[in-house]
Amino acid sequence: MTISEQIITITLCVLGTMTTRFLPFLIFSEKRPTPAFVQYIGRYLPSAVFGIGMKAP
Amino acid sequence: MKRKALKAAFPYTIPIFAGFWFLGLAYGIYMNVSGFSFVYPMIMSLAIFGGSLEFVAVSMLLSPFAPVQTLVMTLLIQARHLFYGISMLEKFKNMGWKKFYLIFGMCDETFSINYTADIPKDVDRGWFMFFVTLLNHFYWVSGATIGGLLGSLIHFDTDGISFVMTSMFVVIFMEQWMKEKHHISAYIGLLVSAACLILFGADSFMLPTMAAIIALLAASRRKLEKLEVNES
Repeated sequence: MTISEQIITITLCVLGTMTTRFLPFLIFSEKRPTPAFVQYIGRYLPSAVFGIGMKAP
Repeated sequence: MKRKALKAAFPYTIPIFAGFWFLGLAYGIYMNVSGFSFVYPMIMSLAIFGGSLEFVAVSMLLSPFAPVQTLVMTLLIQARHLFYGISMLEKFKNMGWKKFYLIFGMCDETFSINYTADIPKDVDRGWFMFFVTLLNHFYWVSGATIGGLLGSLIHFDTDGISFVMTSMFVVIFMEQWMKEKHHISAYIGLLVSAACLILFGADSFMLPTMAAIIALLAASRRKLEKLEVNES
């Protein structure tokens, strides 16, 4: 891999990661109320997700 | 205000310090012995701030250039962050400029603390979450950079270290467990991820687990919301 290919590879890792982190906030902006279903999912997800965390450190 | 928030945040990050610093060190050493300058682990830990992907990225960098594969792989490994974002939509509201950094630095461990921590009433929530994120980020980047600098000079067995993280998740899971009035969602998470782990294997169980959790939560919405009404 050349240096520029390395830079592109690392940049893609950063962009991909930030897409998964920022996407929910871009879709459901502060200015509009979050749909009730999404709020409901957001309330109950964490309990379920911490269960995954114990298996996939 | 900032000092108070830092003082409140720091104790929560001590287990992360133990885990991140040594894992970061191991990651930096791994990059060093793979032939990369310390600048690589330093920049990657700073900009990606996601342990599992960074370890995979080492083999990506050592393989022939494959941008599409890199992006797809990244999205697959990091997809679980979508869940963290959805869970934090309400908590990150009205955080001003800090919101950008809070989202940027939302790795598994930072999310777990920021979601579950009982922030004292007299401590600013925004600054508390900001410092949790900043401290974790600092542990990870400093470990990775030092590992990258020292590289082949140090040899140590990192086998037991990832267990620090697993046990931290067990503690966080239990804290959440004691806070909630019923455990339907926790059972869904445990059962679904165990089933998917057996069916799909450790490398590819994450996406089916996520899909199944959403589907089951959607299916039990009426029931769970009925319970909420009864509680209040």
